[in-house]
Amino acid sequence: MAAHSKQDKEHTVTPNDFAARFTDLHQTLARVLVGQDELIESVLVAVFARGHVLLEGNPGLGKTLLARALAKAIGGDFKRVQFTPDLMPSDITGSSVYNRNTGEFVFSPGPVFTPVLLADEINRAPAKTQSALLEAMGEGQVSVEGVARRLPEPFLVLATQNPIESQGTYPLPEAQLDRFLVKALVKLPDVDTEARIVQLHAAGFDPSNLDEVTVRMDLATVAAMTAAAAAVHIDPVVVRYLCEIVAATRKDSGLSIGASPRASIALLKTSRVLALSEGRAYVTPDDVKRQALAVLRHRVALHPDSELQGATEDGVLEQILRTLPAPRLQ
Amino acid sequence: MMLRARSAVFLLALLAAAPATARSDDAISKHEDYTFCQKPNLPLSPDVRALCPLAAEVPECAALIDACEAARKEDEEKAEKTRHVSTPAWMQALGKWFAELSLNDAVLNGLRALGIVALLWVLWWAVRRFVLLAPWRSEDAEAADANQVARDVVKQSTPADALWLAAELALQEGRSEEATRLYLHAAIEHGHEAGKIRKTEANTYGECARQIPRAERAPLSDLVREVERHDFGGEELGHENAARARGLALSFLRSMGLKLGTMALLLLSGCDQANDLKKYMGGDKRAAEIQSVWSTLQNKGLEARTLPIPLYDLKLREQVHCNSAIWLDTHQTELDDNARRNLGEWVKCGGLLLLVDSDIRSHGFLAQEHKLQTLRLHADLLADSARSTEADEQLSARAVGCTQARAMFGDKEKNAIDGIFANDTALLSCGTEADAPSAHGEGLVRRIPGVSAFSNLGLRRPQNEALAIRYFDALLALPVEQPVPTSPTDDPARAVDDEEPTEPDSEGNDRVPSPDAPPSKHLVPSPEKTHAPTIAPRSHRTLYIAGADSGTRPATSPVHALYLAGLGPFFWHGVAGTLLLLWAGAARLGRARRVLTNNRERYATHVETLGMHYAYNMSNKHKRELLAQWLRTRNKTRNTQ
Repeated sequence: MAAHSKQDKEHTVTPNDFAARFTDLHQTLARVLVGQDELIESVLVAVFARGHVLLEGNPGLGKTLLARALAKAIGGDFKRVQFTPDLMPSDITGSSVYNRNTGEFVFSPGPVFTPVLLADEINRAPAKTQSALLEAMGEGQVSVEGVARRLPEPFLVLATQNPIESQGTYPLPEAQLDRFLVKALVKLPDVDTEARIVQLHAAGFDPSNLDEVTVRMDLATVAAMTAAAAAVHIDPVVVRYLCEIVAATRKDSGLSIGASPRASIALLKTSRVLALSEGRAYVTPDDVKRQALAVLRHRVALHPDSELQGATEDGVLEQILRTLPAPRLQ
Repeated sequence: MMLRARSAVFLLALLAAAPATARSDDAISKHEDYTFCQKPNLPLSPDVRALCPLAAEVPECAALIDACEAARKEDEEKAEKTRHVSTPAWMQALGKWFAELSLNDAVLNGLRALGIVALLWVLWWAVRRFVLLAPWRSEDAEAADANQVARDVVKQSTPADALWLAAELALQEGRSEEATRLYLHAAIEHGHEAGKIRKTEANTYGECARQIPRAERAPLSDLVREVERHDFGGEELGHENAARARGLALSFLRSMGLKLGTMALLLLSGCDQANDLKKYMGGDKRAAEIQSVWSTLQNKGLEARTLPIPLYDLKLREQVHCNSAIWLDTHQTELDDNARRNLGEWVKCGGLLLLVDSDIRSHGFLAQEHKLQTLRLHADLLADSARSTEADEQLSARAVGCTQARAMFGDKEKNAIDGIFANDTALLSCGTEADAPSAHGEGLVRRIPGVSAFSNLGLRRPQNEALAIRYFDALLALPVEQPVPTSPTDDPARAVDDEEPTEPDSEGNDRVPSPDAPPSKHLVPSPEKTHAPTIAPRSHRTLYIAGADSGTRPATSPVHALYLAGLGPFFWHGVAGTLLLLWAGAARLGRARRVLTNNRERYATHVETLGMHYAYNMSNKHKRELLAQWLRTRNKTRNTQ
């Protein structure tokens, strides 16, 4: 820890240091969120790539727990907003409130002013409320009554949506889905994993307390690691491969809407973080391929014929990855 | 009734036969079927033509005789036409032209002259090719470096082998980046050939590595990272990186083991041959190992065969000449008493017995009974260079053996052996042991390394193959009467023998050869004959490879087979038990039964028995009917009683 503190002050993060911290954070979260290693990795990648995560999964799988544990581990604050049909934009961004004592309007910050925000069931709020949050996610600031207010750094939104209920929901349009860096699937645990979860609770684990999670780094370190990830070398060959993957989604007959160039940039960001998390200062095609599903699955739309045939976004994307030639060594 | 009626008709016909003979001619001639004789249908059918020779003996059969004669003439005309057609006109013309040509002396003489010139040209070419240019050819062959051997290996190798070899060459020539990449390609190709990696165009190298089980994955993953660091990370790769990549690739290959070699050899050698060899050698692994040695020897002109006769056969000395060698893997081939005796006699008459990775001392019939002169040449060609990094002490220990190896192979090989150590490509440790020459016997028994040293994996490196070839060259060379050098320094091989006499005496102690011992005919290759990279044209023993079943006589009967398998007592126990059971069953079945006086009861028992018979024979229809009848009968019996 002493060495870490020294490096925190200097804000210089080497690949090995990044990998060690990333692994440490991962293990810390995995202690409370059992059996969701891929989900944790996606969320951490998004944190260090300055992105936001759309979580799709059934209720009761630990999404809130993940957000709270993450916020605690990185030394930040955490807030949760339950999206409902009557939720107003000001309920998220905040509003000015009249102060009788001073006779002035004082800005009361909304829950968006927090490093880690859990937007629960985001598809249950009307479009204008969704837009308010998505604007904050895209711009990193909110405008309330004509005044632009910066959001804290880092700012991570974990938005969830339930895949099994469609009544009374307002599905996010493709343009707004594109603002999420990755879409992670929260999978149901198998019996063994579930047994481990139950045993954890039987041993006295309290999700509201989170004593098992300690602060592993501060927000300055997070910012330094984010900056380090942005400087990872990527070879033109890998860039080309990355763009070919995204371009292939636009040509595939199974998809009606392909991914945008923003997807390419997102893939670049996440691949860089993934490379650095393994102690490498360069991106390999393997990194790109491993992040492709998480980055692209919410940015493409299935063709109706494919949907009728039972195809899924992941299936089509996997087929693209299976057929697209990877960069070969000369 | 019908049978009786038919019999009566038959008897009546017999009785009527004699008087009918007198009237037969008339009757026959008036019979409708007799028209074939008087008015035969033309052309004659094959059946009627078969009667032609008998037609003259049948009265009033002139028409058939005429028809037969006409048919015969027709056949002769057809045959004549066929003879004329079979000789084409152009052949007749050609024969006529040759007949005219033979009369023309000038043309014939010209053809003769041309033939003589052609024959002389062929002779000149042969003399020039095999006699005049032979010395230069020999020098060229001697000058051929390991790369030439490597190219030979490539011809009979899989793509993975070729990639490996290309990587080795690139490393030797200082092309580190290319070598590193090629090592990765070779490793992945090996995994692909072994069926552990599914290689597709879309797969990244990381994905290839992740297909390997986690326990074996680490070397390949590190190798992938080594290469990607250069190709995607922009780092320079030097000789150290290439050497490290080589070590990682070797570690990965070692984890896959001999299975690769087996598969590659099966592919190379063809299924039929491999199957025969597999059967002969008693298993896939041994067959694959021996195949590698076999191919190596045969490619270099040495003769290797399977044994024409089993070792236990008394005609061993007649069929396998004493001037040959037998490859015997005692771990694989068990020897019975006959085989031991025959083998001992065969060695005694001058044979060279190569014991594969086996201690001679454990074979008392060879080392003690006949007190044979033994010389041990032990060379380990280690393909696994990773072991060299385990401890420098091993290197130094092998270096001592290498000093002896230099003595064996001559000074010209010194550089080659040094190079091998420097390149860390293969290790050669040599040691020689010789006991005091014995007056008994003319043969030799040598211990040679395990065949795994000569496996496909072991021979992958060209240096290894070159050394293996030299090793067998020295091993199988016919003994040459050499004058014993006056001092150990005159003959390096002899000096080696004198340095390490480790063959034990009867008490198991190493003994020093007596200075008064008579001169021996060691199979020690002289330097001028062994330093050539390829085998020099000289006489070699034929190498016979003993199969797995060569040493034990097969069972002549099932009982014998049980005995050979050590199951004789169990067999007799089984026989006794069976007899006891049979006796018990017979005693039970042989008891006197109650005499069934009641006819109906007897019939019921009969029906029951028959029903059970059908039941046992799964004839359901009869079974049901008979059982039903039996039940009815039994009920009636009971009711009446």
